Amino acid sequence: MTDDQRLQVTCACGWQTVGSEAEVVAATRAHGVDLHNMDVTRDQVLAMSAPAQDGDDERPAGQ
Amino acid sequence: MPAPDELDIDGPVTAEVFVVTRTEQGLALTGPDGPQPWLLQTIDAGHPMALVESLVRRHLPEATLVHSTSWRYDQGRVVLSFLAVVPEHTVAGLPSVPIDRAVLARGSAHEAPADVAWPAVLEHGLRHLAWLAKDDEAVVAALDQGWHDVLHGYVPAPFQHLGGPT
Repeated sequence: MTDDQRLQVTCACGWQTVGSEAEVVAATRAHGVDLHNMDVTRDQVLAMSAPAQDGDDERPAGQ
Repeated sequence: MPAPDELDIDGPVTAEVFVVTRTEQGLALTGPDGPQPWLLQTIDAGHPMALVESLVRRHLPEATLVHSTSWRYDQGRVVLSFLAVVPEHTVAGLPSVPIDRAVLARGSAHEAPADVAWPAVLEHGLRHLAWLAKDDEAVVAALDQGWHDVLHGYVPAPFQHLGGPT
């Protein structure tokens, strides 16, 4: 995985984040703890991440 | 059912919070996770009520009350449902949707309903709150007159003439 590859993660609640690996991991972990009482690891976040689709780059992380 | 690669609640017991507020137009569903059931993971969290109260207080510190209203078995896990009543001004910036009346999910005399959609859970919760608003002094005191008026519509018709707590 390259540093500039953009990823996306979707939560079952509908929340979605798009960004760099570091941004997506941070945003997803924060969302999990803050809203769902879920303490997910970096590896768990990456396991559920996918390459960002075209056009997703316009959506800021955490939105 | 979420896709396998989605972030999803884990564990045998899940808490589900319906954040409801009263507006001039009626009751509305809202919350920090949007106008939908707000799901909380309960693994290693101790008492579910304390967990829900803690999360509600963190995001909605002026919540009027938090109350458990029902449970059900859904897709291999137990779902504990809660109502959180919040003043309208505290959720002014959050998305919300009007709460429509819904048909309750009915089982048999010995079996739970086969399928329970969340609008039916919310309807049941509001009917439960309507009962508490007449029977539980803490709830009676916590809710303002506007809430009591709205909940009157959730009391089964044969009992609507009855007064306050007995």
